[in-house]
Amino acid sequence: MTPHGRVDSNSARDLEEVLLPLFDDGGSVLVDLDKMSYISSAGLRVLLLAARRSKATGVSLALCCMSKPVEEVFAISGFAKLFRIHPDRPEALAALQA
Amino acid sequence: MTGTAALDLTIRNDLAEIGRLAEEVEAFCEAKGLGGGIAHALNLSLDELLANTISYGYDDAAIHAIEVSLSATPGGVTMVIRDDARAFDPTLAPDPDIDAEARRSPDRRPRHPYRPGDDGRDRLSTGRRQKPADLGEALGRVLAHRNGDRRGHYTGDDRGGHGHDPARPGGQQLRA
Repeated sequence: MTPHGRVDSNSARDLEEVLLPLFDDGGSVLVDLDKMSYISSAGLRVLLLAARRSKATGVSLALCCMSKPVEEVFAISGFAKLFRIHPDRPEALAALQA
Repeated sequence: MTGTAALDLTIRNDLAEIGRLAEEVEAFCEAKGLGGGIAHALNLSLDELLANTISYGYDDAAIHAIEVSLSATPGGVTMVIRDDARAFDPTLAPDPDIDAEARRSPDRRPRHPYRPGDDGRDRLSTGRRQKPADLGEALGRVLAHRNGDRRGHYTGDDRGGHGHDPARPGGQQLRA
């Protein structure tokens, strides 16, 4: 999936409603953050819930293509260590299929 | 410098207002020639502080006004948030037990491993050791430091708001 724009305290709920059900379908989940310009702690919470869902269901989760501001928030919060993060989509897909 | 020196906005206690405010802040920073990093730091800080106020600060379901002002100063930007929500002083709140929270309630907002740096920068200007109230507050604080002039600081002066005691306006200030 490719979330667009700002994921703030208001719009994080929309991301949660779309992202979390993806783990019920099997396969693997790649969140392409190329079009996400902004993320707050509310958005990080949703991704953390996704990581937990991934662990519980065995559906792999990877993130890719972070913009600079989003990358900075991941680094400061320590969340960068909690996810498989890839610089581009081909590498992420290859890792998920490996 | 072009444009007005300050941005003054009043928003409702509705999370949907945060996106509208972000657009105004970006336009303000652009007019001031401030970099995208500063707009990002201000917006993240506003988002986190306002989300806490709006989500947890009110005991009723009524509409409340929250005043936000940004002013460009020679040293950076000063941001003031003024509301009539319940007062909360993060310096008096107990340190969260990060591990216990994770064990007990997986769906709660994540608490943050961030701790003050040894160089003393990441502290409240009151002189107390910083106790981040949550991940969001810590994020805003660190970003403000990174984009500021290293004198940037956060002042939590949340004494209940102007609605309760006009002589002692409550508010939160952050310099980036």
